Amino acid sequence: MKKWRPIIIIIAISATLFILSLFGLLKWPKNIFWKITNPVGMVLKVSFGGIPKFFRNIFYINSITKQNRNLIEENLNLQSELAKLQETKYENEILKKELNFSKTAPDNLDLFPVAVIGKTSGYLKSVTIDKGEKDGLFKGQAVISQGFLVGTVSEIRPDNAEVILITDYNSLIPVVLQESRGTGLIRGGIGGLVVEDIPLNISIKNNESVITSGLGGVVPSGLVIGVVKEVISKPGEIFQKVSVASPIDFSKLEVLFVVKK
Amino acid sequence: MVKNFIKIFIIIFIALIQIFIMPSFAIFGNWPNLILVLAVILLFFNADPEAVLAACAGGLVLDLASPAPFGLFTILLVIITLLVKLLMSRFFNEPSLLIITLIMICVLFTFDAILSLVNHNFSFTVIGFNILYSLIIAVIFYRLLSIWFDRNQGIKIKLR
Repeated sequence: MKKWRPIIIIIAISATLFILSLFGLLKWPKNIFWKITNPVGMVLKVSFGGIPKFFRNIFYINSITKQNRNLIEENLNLQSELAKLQETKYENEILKKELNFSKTAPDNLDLFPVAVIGKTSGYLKSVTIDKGEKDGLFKGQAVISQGFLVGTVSEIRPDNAEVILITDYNSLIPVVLQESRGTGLIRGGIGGLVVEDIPLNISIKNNESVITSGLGGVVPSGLVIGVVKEVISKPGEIFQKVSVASPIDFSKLEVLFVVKK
Repeated sequence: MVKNFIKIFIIIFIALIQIFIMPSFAIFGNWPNLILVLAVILLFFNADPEAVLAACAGGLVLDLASPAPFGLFTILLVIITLLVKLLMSRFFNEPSLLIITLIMICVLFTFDAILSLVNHNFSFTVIGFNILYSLIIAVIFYRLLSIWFDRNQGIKIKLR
């Protein structure tokens, strides 16, 4: 009986927390849990987090060198393109002023950096971040990484929050295809990222960008998600479906940015 | 009393390693469930109360950290641990290494399959690699636990 006492106590705690979860009162225990364990987690990450990176660098050293060379070249090309676009932007601003055009979308996003502090399982497409309600975050805010949308804030607590990734089946975000202007909803799941409900009259181009449409009001428009890979809807379906490729490795997210406005 | 606290502390520490460190060691976006592996390996040492304690305490920590419905990890871990114990006591008193490996593979597949189906991202490839990864962790855990437990108190594994 003595051997089973700690088990009985833990089962009683679990049952209590389960009952609290039914009434939506689990926010505070979870908040306290992350507050207590986050410093321990940071120590563990600093101590052991460098080990896989070290081996990965050795393993991929050849491809990293090639990639570096390509990126330097691409950077130089992009710099010259940027200079041309700055000029175009300036002209655009002048024309807008002339026509009394009001600004609909902000040029610069107000970004708030957050760190990913933990993840329970690879099957749960969700991460916990180290900022919460006290830092001005709220449910539904867009979260980006390297300029691409990766998720939205799904659960908010005083000191931390859950971000549901766009690769999760339950994540649904209104999007628009940048060139063909077809609107749809992007969802994650077994088949990867898929944009559904695109009208049949839209002629979709491969490799065109998929960006957020801003419909619904919370996720701002213009956030890039990825590019169209291929049309996967079958003949006879009443809407088109496309698969989307994102350049982000969702299993290696560390620093994210919450779009405040 | 002190021994129980030490056991619970070690189990919670392993659960924290799973939450904070294991994502860095992910392969195909996934990593083993250390608590599940620990609970099943403890059964091989006939440490039944410790195995159930690992499932309960580890499951509680994972449930607190997880966005999934509360209780999913605890219930899955406890049920699987008890089922494995029942299987071994009823049918496999002196299992061979092959049977032990098959039991581990079935346990790992069941757990991963349930978790992936609940989250709509079932993939045989991902689960297969995760099982192999978990088996390597299981061997490491077995070696480490052999220091703590007397190998003679565990179940007799026939090598042939």
